[in-house]
Amino acid sequence: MKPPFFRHKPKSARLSSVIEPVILLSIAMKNLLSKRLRTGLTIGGIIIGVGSIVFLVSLAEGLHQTVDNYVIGSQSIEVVDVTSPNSSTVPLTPDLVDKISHFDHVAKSIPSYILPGKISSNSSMTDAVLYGTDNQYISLSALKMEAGDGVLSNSKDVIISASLLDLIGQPNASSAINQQVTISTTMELNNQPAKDFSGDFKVVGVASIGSGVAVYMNGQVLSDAGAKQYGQAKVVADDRANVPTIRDQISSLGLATASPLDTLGEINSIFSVFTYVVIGFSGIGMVIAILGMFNTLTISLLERTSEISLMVIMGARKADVKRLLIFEALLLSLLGGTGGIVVAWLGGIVINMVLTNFANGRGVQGAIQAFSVTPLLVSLTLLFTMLVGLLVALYPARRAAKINPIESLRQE
Amino acid sequence: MKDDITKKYDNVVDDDNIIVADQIFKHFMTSSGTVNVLHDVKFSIKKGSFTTIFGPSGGGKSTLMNVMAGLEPPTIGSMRVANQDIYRLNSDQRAHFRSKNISIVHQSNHWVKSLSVIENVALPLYLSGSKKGSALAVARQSLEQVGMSEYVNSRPTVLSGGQQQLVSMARALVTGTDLIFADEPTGNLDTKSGNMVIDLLLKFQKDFGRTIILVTHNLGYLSLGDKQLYMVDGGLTESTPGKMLPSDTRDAIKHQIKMLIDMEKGLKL
Repeated sequence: MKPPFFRHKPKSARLSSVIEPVILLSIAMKNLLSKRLRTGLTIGGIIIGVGSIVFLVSLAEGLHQTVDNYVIGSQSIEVVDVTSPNSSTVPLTPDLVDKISHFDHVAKSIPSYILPGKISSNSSMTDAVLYGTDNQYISLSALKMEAGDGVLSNSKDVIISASLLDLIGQPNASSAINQQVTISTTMELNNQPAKDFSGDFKVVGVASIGSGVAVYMNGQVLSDAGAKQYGQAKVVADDRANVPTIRDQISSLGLATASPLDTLGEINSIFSVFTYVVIGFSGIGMVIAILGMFNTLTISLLERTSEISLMVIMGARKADVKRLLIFEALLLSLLGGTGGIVVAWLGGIVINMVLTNFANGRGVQGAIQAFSVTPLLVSLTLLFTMLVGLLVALYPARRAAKINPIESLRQE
Repeated sequence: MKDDITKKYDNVVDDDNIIVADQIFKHFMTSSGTVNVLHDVKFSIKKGSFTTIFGPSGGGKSTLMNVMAGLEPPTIGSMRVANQDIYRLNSDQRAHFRSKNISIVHQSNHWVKSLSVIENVALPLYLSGSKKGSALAVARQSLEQVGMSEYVNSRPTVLSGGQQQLVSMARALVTGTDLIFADEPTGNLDTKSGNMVIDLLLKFQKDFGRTIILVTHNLGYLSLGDKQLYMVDGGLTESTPGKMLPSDTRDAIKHQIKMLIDMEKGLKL
């Protein structure tokens, strides 16, 4: 009687059955490990190729984000600035602002008077742009406050730009808080004599807005003084994606719109070109890595002709042989791709740290993010590397599947 | 009236015959023309029997074995193995068929060099879809049967020729196939190792009911078989113990034996 194991029959008797993927993977791994130097060099080549792509693309992405942050700052990209290019024919009246606020996808619409005026203190006087509005508008304007919290608590409060500090005789922003200033303007009223306005106000905030001389004050004060039409309105969309639609609707009223998205779009188009150039250069390394992988797989196949013949004689099908080669290529790709991403990521972190330390040492606040490895970049790189591995394996795999086992063993 | 040899083939398709070859011709095209390697070969082999294929080099023995194993399609003729006309199958189907029915022991051993001894022995099971754990367990038992269990984790290429051939025998045993082809399995071995291999083949036949087909040059192994197939110049003559071969075949065998004896004498001098 046969011992029990001689009655062993493999479970799968179907013709469609194939070698277990985990076993094939294990054999592929052992094949690669049996030639450590060659495998190591091949993976090293892929790491360099993939790493250079990820490194340079993450540099482009990091610079892109840095420029975006610098240009957009804390502005909300859902905000559309609305002005009237011809205020005499299409004045930006409260009715029109109210109409805009009822458009689809408009979350809110906050207007501001914008008038030329004068600000005086300690017998000095200078021109200034007066913004008559409310705290929501000031908040959406993303003022960078040097002193104060940027909130107008009552009708006598004003926020001034830092460039006015000299005028009011204050050495710095904090000392300007609670200082008294006089603000005056002349209302140009339709078909009526011009009307002068003047009042005393208390400085509650100082904002850094470049070289501009601006004064943010309560809009009701200017309204009471006779201001009839707004200079600007900030229209907030319910979602970034709806900004173009809202702009179209507003433009159809004869009004002009501006959005941070305009700037972003220009930056994006510049960096798209930059990214393609960068990919082109780093692609050279990738091409060399691909050739290295192809070379490794082809030589490995030539060396193992008898092994593959043996497997065919023992029952391996063409698909099994192909899969073995493809698994080896995918392993090389996966290891090389992952290694390349990790190396580029670590390199980016180190350079970001060095740049940040360098910048901080020279008075620049905040972290410098010159490199940005995003999840999308990682996913696409891995996908791309695996796809390349698959394509590179196709020729050796097809060649392996065509091996005549008897002929190759006879030659050996 | 049909002679005895012809009569045998009238009744070849029955359940007792595991191999039935019918009018096998095999030609190879070479630069110098067509070479007829097998010429009108027909025979049958009973299930559980021990058959030796003997003949001079270039006589077509290995080609015949490859044809029987589904590795070399004949130019003409049909080859039924385990009631399956194997050349009606495509190459993948034949590979699958081999994994279920046929094991081969070669003269020179071939290994997947990155795998250990036990994994090489388990490889035929892997190829037929077995799980790794169960395949390794069966491979271990198979190695125990040939006395090589202490080398399970070694690389096969570091073993001696005799040890490698024993591992190869374990690999042939592991899938439980009914047919084991042994192509000059002792050709590269010393007498002691060669005898161990032959003893194992006999054990596989007698204890486990395997059908053994031994291709050999060794005259000493001729008497082991239930049947001898003598191949010369692509033609095949069959004999069984107690039956006389045709006189021309006997003369050819005598000539072959004389050549081998002379060759041995020459080596001793």
